[in-house]
Amino acid sequence: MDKHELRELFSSSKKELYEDWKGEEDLWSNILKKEGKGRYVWKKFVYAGSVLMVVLLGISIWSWYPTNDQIFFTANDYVDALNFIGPSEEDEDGLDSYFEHYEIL
Amino acid sequence: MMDGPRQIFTKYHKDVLAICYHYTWNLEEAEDITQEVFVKLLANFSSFDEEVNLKAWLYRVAINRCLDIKRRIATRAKHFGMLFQMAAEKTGMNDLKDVEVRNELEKILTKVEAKTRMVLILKFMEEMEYSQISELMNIPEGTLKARVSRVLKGMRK
Repeated sequence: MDKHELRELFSSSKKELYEDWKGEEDLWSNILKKEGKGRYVWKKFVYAGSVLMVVLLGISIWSWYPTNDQIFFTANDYVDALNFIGPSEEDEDGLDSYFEHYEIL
Repeated sequence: MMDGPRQIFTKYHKDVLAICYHYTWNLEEAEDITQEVFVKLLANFSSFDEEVNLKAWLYRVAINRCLDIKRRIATRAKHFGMLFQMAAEKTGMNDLKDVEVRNELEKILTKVEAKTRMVLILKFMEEMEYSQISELMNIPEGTLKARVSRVLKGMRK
Protein backbone atom coordinates (compact mmCIF):
# COMPACT_ATOMS: atom_id res chain seq x y z
CA MET A 1 0.00 0.00 0.00
CA ASP A 2 1.33 3.45 -0.85
CA LYS A 3 0.41 6.90 0.38
CA HIS A 4 -2.22 7.44 -2.32
CA GLU A 5 -4.05 4.32 -1.27
CA LEU A 6 -3.77 5.34 2.36
CA ARG A 7 -5.23 8.73 1.46
CA GLU A 8 -8.11 7.04 -0.37
CA LEU A 9 -8.73 4.74 2.56
CA PHE A 10 -8.95 7.70 4.91
CA SER A 11 -11.13 9.59 2.51
CA SER A 12 -13.68 6.79 2.18
CA SER A 13 -13.60 6.11 5.92
CA LYS A 14 -14.22 9.79 6.63
CA LYS A 15 -17.01 9.92 4.04
CA GLU A 16 -18.69 6.90 5.58
CA LEU A 17 -18.38 8.36 9.04
CA TYR A 18 -20.07 11.56 7.90
CA GLU A 19 -22.83 9.66 6.15
CA ASP A 20 -23.53 7.43 9.13
CA TRP A 21 -23.25 10.03 11.82
CA LYS A 22 -26.36 12.06 12.52
CA GLY A 23 -25.55 13.38 15.95
CA GLU A 24 -24.89 17.05 15.21
CA GLU A 25 -27.87 18.47 17.11
CA ASP A 26 -27.40 16.16 20.09
CA LEU A 27 -23.73 17.00 20.29
CA TRP A 28 -24.40 20.74 20.16
CA SER A 29 -27.09 20.57 22.85
CA ASN A 30 -24.76 18.47 25.04
CA ILE A 31 -22.05 21.08 24.60
CA LEU A 32 -24.40 23.89 25.60
CA LYS A 33 -25.64 21.88 28.56
CA LYS A 34 -22.14 21.04 29.73
CA GLU A 35 -20.91 24.58 29.23
CA GLY A 36 -23.94 25.98 31.04
CA LYS A 37 -23.40 23.57 33.88
CA GLY A 38 -19.75 24.55 34.12
CA ARG A 39 -20.65 28.19 34.16
CA TYR A 40 -23.31 27.60 36.82
CA VAL A 41 -20.87 25.73 39.08
CA TRP A 42 -18.32 28.48 38.59
CA LYS A 43 -20.92 31.12 39.43
CA LYS A 44 -21.98 29.19 42.50
CA PHE A 45 -18.42 29.12 43.77
CA VAL A 46 -18.00 32.84 43.16
CA TYR A 47 -21.26 33.58 44.95
CA ALA A 48 -20.38 31.36 47.93
CA GLY A 49 -16.89 32.90 48.06
CA SER A 50 -18.26 36.46 48.06
CA VAL A 51 -20.74 35.68 50.84
CA LEU A 52 -17.96 34.09 52.90
CA MET A 53 -15.71 37.10 52.34
CA VAL A 54 -18.44 39.52 53.44
CA VAL A 55 -19.16 37.45 56.57
CA LEU A 56 -15.45 37.24 57.46
CA LEU A 57 -15.03 40.96 56.86
CA GLY A 58 -18.05 41.67 59.08
CA ILE A 59 -16.68 39.49 61.87
CA SER A 60 -13.25 41.09 61.70
CA ILE A 61 -14.68 44.61 61.71
CA TRP A 62 -16.97 43.73 64.59
CA SER A 63 -14.15 42.27 66.66
CA TRP A 64 -11.64 45.05 65.98
CA TYR A 65 -13.93 48.04 65.99
CA PRO A 66 -13.32 50.20 69.09
CA THR A 67 -16.14 50.53 71.59
CA ASN A 68 -17.97 53.82 72.18
CA ASP A 69 -15.84 54.52 75.27
CA GLN A 70 -12.73 54.32 73.14
CA ILE A 71 -14.05 56.55 70.43
CA PHE A 72 -16.05 59.23 72.12
CA PHE A 73 -15.17 61.72 74.77
CA THR A 74 -17.93 60.78 77.21
CA ALA A 75 -19.85 63.10 79.50
CA ASN A 76 -17.88 61.79 82.47
CA ASP A 77 -14.62 62.71 80.81
CA TYR A 78 -16.00 66.17 80.16
CA VAL A 79 -17.01 66.64 83.80
CA ASP A 80 -13.65 65.27 84.81
CA ALA A 81 -11.91 67.82 82.66
CA LEU A 82 -14.01 70.64 84.07
CA ASN A 83 -13.30 69.54 87.61
CA PHE A 84 -9.62 69.43 87.00
CA ILE A 85 -8.06 72.45 88.55
CA GLY A 86 -4.85 73.54 87.08
CA PRO A 87 -1.65 73.89 89.15
CA SER A 88 -1.49 76.65 91.69
CA GLU A 89 1.37 79.05 91.83
CA GLU A 90 2.99 77.10 94.66
CA ASP A 91 2.50 73.86 92.82
CA GLU A 92 4.84 74.68 89.98
CA ASP A 93 4.94 71.38 88.31
CA GLY A 94 1.21 70.76 88.86
CA LEU A 95 1.79 67.38 90.43
CA ASP A 96 0.21 68.23 93.77
CA SER A 97 -3.08 69.35 92.29
CA TYR A 98 -3.03 66.41 89.95
CA PHE A 99 -2.60 63.94 92.80
CA GLU A 100 -5.18 65.82 94.83
CA HIS A 101 -7.69 65.75 92.06
CA TYR A 102 -7.24 62.07 91.55
CA GLU A 103 -7.19 61.45 95.29
CA ILE A 104 -3.85 59.76 95.08
CA LEU A 105 -2.37 61.59 97.99
CA MET B 1 -16.15 39.60 11.74
CA MET B 2 -15.55 36.39 13.63
CA ASP B 3 -18.22 33.67 13.45
CA GLY B 4 -20.30 32.86 16.51
CA PRO B 5 -19.78 29.60 18.43
CA ARG B 6 -22.62 27.84 16.61
CA GLN B 7 -21.22 28.71 13.18
CA ILE B 8 -17.76 27.58 14.24
CA PHE B 9 -19.22 24.34 15.52
CA THR B 10 -21.11 23.76 12.26
CA LYS B 11 -17.99 24.50 10.24
CA TYR B 12 -15.48 22.35 12.11
CA HIS B 13 -17.17 19.74 14.29
CA LYS B 14 -17.09 17.01 11.66
CA ASP B 15 -13.36 17.48 11.05
CA VAL B 16 -12.67 17.34 14.78
CA LEU B 17 -14.92 14.29 15.14
CA ALA B 18 -13.18 12.51 12.25
CA ILE B 19 -9.73 13.10 13.74
CA CYS B 20 -10.84 11.84 17.14
CA TYR B 21 -12.69 8.90 15.65
CA HIS B 22 -9.78 7.71 13.54
CA TYR B 23 -7.49 8.09 16.52
CA THR B 24 -9.67 6.33 19.10
CA TRP B 25 -11.66 4.02 16.80
CA ASN B 26 -14.60 4.54 19.07
CA LEU B 27 -17.42 6.82 18.04
CA GLU B 28 -18.66 7.43 21.55
CA GLU B 29 -15.22 8.41 22.75
CA ALA B 30 -14.71 10.59 19.67
CA GLU B 31 -18.00 12.37 20.41
CA ASP B 32 -16.94 12.92 24.01
CA ILE B 33 -13.62 14.44 22.97
CA THR B 34 -15.31 16.61 20.33
CA GLN B 35 -17.75 17.75 22.99
CA GLU B 36 -14.88 18.67 25.34
CA VAL B 37 -13.13 20.57 22.56
CA PHE B 38 -16.17 22.75 21.86
CA VAL B 39 -16.99 23.24 25.54
CA LYS B 40 -13.45 24.57 25.86
CA LEU B 41 -14.06 26.78 22.84
CA LEU B 42 -17.19 28.27 24.43
CA ALA B 43 -15.38 28.83 27.71
CA ASN B 44 -12.53 30.66 25.98
CA PHE B 45 -14.56 32.33 23.26
CA SER B 46 -14.56 35.82 24.75
CA SER B 47 -10.76 35.82 24.95
CA PHE B 48 -10.25 35.13 21.22
CA ASP B 49 -9.43 37.98 18.91
CA GLU B 50 -10.19 38.27 15.21
CA GLU B 51 -6.72 37.08 14.24
CA VAL B 52 -6.92 33.72 15.96
CA ASN B 53 -6.73 30.65 13.73
CA LEU B 54 -9.73 28.82 15.13
CA LYS B 55 -9.26 25.69 13.08
CA ALA B 56 -5.69 25.29 14.32
CA TRP B 57 -6.81 26.02 17.89
CA LEU B 58 -9.55 23.39 17.72
CA TYR B 59 -7.23 20.82 16.15
CA ARG B 60 -4.56 21.48 18.77
CA VAL B 61 -7.03 20.98 21.63
CA ALA B 62 -8.40 17.82 19.99
CA ILE B 63 -4.91 16.41 19.33
CA ASN B 64 -3.76 17.07 22.89
CA ARG B 65 -6.87 15.49 24.32
CA CYS B 66 -6.47 12.44 22.08
CA LEU B 67 -2.81 12.06 23.01
CA ASP B 68 -3.73 12.36 26.69
CA ILE B 69 -5.79 9.24 26.44
CA LYS B 70 -3.24 7.24 24.46
CA ARG B 71 -2.60 4.84 27.34
CA ARG B 72 -6.22 3.84 27.45
CA ILE B 73 -6.24 3.51 23.68
CA ALA B 74 -3.19 1.24 23.76
CA THR B 75 -5.01 -1.10 26.10
CA ARG B 76 -8.05 -0.95 23.94
CA ALA B 77 -6.06 -1.77 20.81
CA LYS B 78 -5.47 -5.24 22.23
CA HIS B 79 -9.19 -5.85 22.35
CA PHE B 80 -9.89 -3.87 19.25
CA GLY B 81 -11.79 -6.54 17.32
CA MET B 82 -14.44 -6.90 19.97
CA LEU B 83 -14.78 -3.19 20.64
CA PHE B 84 -14.94 -2.35 16.97
CA GLN B 85 -17.76 -4.81 16.56
CA MET B 86 -19.62 -3.22 19.49
CA ALA B 87 -19.09 0.29 18.14
CA ALA B 88 -20.25 -0.81 14.71
CA GLU B 89 -23.40 -2.35 16.13
CA LYS B 90 -24.13 0.71 18.24
CA THR B 91 -23.74 3.14 15.37
CA GLY B 92 -25.33 0.98 12.76
CA MET B 93 -22.13 0.79 10.71
CA ASN B 94 -22.57 -2.80 9.80
CA ASP B 95 -22.20 -2.44 6.10
CA LEU B 96 -19.57 -4.92 4.91
CA LYS B 97 -17.71 -2.32 2.86
CA ASP B 98 -17.52 0.04 5.85
CA VAL B 99 -16.14 -2.69 8.00
CA GLU B 100 -13.55 -3.61 5.38
CA VAL B 101 -12.32 -0.06 5.02
CA ARG B 102 -12.18 0.37 8.76
CA ASN B 103 -10.47 -2.96 9.28
CA GLU B 104 -7.84 -2.02 6.75
CA LEU B 105 -7.21 1.33 8.41
CA GLU B 106 -7.36 -0.24 11.84
CA LYS B 107 -4.63 -2.68 10.87
CA ILE B 108 -2.38 0.19 9.89
CA LEU B 109 -3.22 2.65 12.63
CA THR B 110 -3.27 0.41 15.66
CA LYS B 111 0.16 -0.94 14.80
CA VAL B 112 1.84 2.45 15.02
CA GLU B 113 2.71 4.51 18.07
CA ALA B 114 0.11 7.07 19.26
CA LYS B 115 1.81 10.22 18.00
CA THR B 116 2.61 8.64 14.64
CA ARG B 117 -1.03 7.60 14.35
CA MET B 118 -2.06 11.21 14.82
CA VAL B 119 0.52 12.33 12.23
CA LEU B 120 -0.90 9.85 9.69
CA ILE B 121 -4.43 11.09 10.34
CA LEU B 122 -3.45 14.73 9.92
CA LYS B 123 -1.28 14.05 6.90
CA PHE B 124 -3.41 11.62 4.91
CA MET B 125 -6.93 12.33 6.12
CA GLU B 126 -6.77 16.07 6.76
CA GLU B 127 -4.14 16.48 4.03
CA MET B 128 -2.12 18.92 6.07
CA GLU B 129 1.42 20.02 5.27
CA TYR B 130 4.25 18.76 7.43
CA SER B 131 4.91 22.34 8.55
CA GLN B 132 1.33 22.66 9.84
CA ILE B 133 1.47 19.31 11.62
CA SER B 134 4.82 20.25 13.09
CA GLU B 135 3.34 23.45 14.49
CA LEU B 136 0.25 21.70 15.84
CA MET B 137 2.04 18.81 17.47
CA ASN B 138 5.25 20.57 18.37
CA ILE B 139 7.38 17.95 16.62
CA PRO B 140 10.18 18.89 14.19
CA GLU B 141 9.31 18.44 10.51
CA GLY B 142 12.22 16.06 9.95
CA THR B 143 11.00 13.76 12.69
CA LEU B 144 7.49 13.76 11.20
CA LYS B 145 8.77 12.89 7.74
CA ALA B 146 10.94 10.12 9.11
CA ARG B 147 8.02 8.65 11.07
CA VAL B 148 5.71 8.71 8.06
CA SER B 149 8.24 7.23 5.69
CA ARG B 150 8.99 4.44 8.19
CA VAL B 151 5.28 3.56 8.31
CA LEU B 152 4.92 3.69 4.52
CA LYS B 153 7.98 1.51 4.12
CA GLY B 154 6.50 -0.97 6.58
CA MET B 155 3.23 -1.02 4.65
CA ARG B 156 4.98 -1.82 1.38
CA LYS B 157 6.64 -4.92 2.83
